[in-house]
Amino acid sequence: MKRLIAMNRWLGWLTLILLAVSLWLVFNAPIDYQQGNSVRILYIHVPSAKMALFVYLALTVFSIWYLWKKSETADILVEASAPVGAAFALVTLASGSIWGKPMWGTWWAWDARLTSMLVLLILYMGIIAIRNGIDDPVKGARATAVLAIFGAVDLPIIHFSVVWWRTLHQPPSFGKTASAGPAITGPLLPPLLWMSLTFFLLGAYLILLKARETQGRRTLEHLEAQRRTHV
Amino acid sequence: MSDYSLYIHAVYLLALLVYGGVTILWKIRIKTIETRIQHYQGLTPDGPTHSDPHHP
Repeated sequence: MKRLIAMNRWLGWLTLILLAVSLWLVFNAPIDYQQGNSVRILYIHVPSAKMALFVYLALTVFSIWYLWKKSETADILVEASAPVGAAFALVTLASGSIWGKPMWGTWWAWDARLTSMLVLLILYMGIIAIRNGIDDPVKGARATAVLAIFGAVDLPIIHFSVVWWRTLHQPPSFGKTASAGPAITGPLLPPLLWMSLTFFLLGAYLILLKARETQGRRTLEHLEAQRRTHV
Repeated sequence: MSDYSLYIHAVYLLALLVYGGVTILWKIRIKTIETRIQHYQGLTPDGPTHSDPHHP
């Protein structure tokens, strides 16, 4: 854990460098023949959405690890992942809404993809609330891990919602599906891949940053409790 | 509004505020926590050490 935290500084600088390259590519990419310039919103929206899902997947793995091994590192990573995932989900929903207004003519629709993504944000908020709301650290950690594992059922629903149901939301941006037709290709694809890589590093950086804060806070609480017993 | 610049600016500003905001907030919190840990580690169980400037 300590080694990972030490590595985080370099990860931060690498993320910043990649972000500069990605932004240059994004603002030099051609406009889309249908969406025009508004396609640039998707370079924030799609990587944020991918990371909102990926962070939840990681959170589920950390939760299983915690329940299996009772590892404090796993518990710290669960606690650190939730706000990072919530930030990605929030940006996904807000950027999608801002894109939806000029493209669909509405800020919001109770479409399967949008609603399942909103459920993911609520799950993240629930995990944060439970982790902070239960005073007993062991009970809190166990409750959080169990909720996170049950909540993972939302991940395939989000991913396949555009395939399973007829939605207002367009098909997946990466790859091809038989029913949904071709995804984003050509000169629009490299900036999206670069932004996705940048957001992956940003996610890892933010989780490790928050883990350092969580670990520090626990050490401080322990020291304060120790101090109180000696006074 | 033919080039959607207002919407694009709004999204990039939002991303900057959220991702930049949490980074700065957590960095400040880490600094505060680590300073307080150093303060506590400078104290012995029976009271402050002489190296602690706040408790001479």
